[in-house]
Amino acid sequence: MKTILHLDMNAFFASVEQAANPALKGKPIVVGGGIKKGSVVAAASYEAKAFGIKNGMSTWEAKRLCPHLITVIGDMAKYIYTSKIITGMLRDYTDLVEIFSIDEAFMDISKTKNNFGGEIKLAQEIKKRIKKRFGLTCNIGIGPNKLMAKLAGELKKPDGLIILKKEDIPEKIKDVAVKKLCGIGKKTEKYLAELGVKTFGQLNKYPREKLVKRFGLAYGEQLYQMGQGNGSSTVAPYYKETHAKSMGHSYTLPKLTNDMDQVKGYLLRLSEQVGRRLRRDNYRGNVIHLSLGFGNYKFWGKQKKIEDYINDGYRIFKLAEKTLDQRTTTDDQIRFVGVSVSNLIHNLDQISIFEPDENKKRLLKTIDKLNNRYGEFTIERASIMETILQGKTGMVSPKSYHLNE
Amino acid sequence: MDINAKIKIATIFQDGKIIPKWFVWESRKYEIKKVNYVWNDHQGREEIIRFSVSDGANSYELAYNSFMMTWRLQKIL
Repeated sequence: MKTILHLDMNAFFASVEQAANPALKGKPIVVGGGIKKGSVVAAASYEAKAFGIKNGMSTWEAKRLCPHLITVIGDMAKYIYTSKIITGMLRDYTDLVEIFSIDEAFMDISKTKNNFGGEIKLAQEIKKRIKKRFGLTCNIGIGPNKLMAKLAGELKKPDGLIILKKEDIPEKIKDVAVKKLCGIGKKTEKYLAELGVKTFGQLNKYPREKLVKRFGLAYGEQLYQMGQGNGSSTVAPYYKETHAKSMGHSYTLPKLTNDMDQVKGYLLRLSEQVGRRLRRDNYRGNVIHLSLGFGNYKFWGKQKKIEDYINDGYRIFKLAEKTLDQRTTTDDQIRFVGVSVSNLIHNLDQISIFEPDENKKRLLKTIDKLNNRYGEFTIERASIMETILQGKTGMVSPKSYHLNE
Repeated sequence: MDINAKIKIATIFQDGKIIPKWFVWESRKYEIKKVNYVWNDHQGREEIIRFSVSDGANSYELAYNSFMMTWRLQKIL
């Protein structure tokens, strides 16, 4: 039987800001795009959550719930650095560390836990070190697989440490809502509720054939296994390099807008960032996906496949822009823009027989060199100079907080 | 509040750590009573080490460019 540990930092961005500025400690704060009209909450402190403030909520709505709320502009560099140091700490206990997101990780401690006095002492030591180094707290869940470890971490927040053993399932968690299980979204939660399944205990007892009939063979079986407390226990370690399937960037706009010139400005900047990352890691792709989020929290997305494999930000932008122009409904105000490139191939750099193409490649190489030396967007297109990503709150690739210092 | 001004500073280098003790900005000396948070950032190939520090009254973000060996008061928090 494996022992899997799941670590989840508590209100990560907000807690880092509170640790960095003592004046914010113990106060309701949100990290996001500031107090401008239409800005949204990217992360809320526990003190803010107590007022009913949730991530993704508009700052205006959050201020209505808590008039003395403090808003802080996010600083990704601070969060990435903190995440990297914590990841380094985790690797002191096992080399099987899988980064799940900027503030979450799985560890397979089956073979190493006894070197540290068992799983509880090991977990306590990790919590202590993080607290001492950064003044931050985290939840740790321990279980026989990733599903149960993550669920265990959900059971007591903040600063929890819960162990779920195989023999605890289902009794110890029978009253836990099914939505707490990783992989059960709002739609599945709704469909399960229609079947009378709202808790883990109810899912545990629900007949497999009925789940398969309702959700299909694959997902129905997966839900049944989840109800039995079964799940993957394979932790993909940080050093096993896997090829990226897609690369993208997204950004929550400082305020809701219908101004398409402004949206396109952000889209161009994001496309340039995607192109730069593709070139840095020697990728090209031929499927360009545009996604938009609206003020009413609905999303829209469309993709386009082309013949060439590209990594030029401007070409990515032109394709995404074309997709944007094809959108038929334009009433909703936009709050979020994202662009990604998928169907990637690695290390393909064909010499073009057309001189202008080669000139463009040389130009991009020179721009990359200058930006590597002097910082991102030292050289940038004039048309995007007004679309500064506030506080670098754009999406961050897992790679940027994944690897060694 | 963004400041981004050059400062004169006294620091201790101890056990691989940089501990800022005081800085002078616009002819006024600020005694650093607590280093709250330290993190690294990059500007191209230049590493910037950032410090959130307090003098008892206010908190400040200081930035040390280890390539140029310069210190700046980045902002008052």
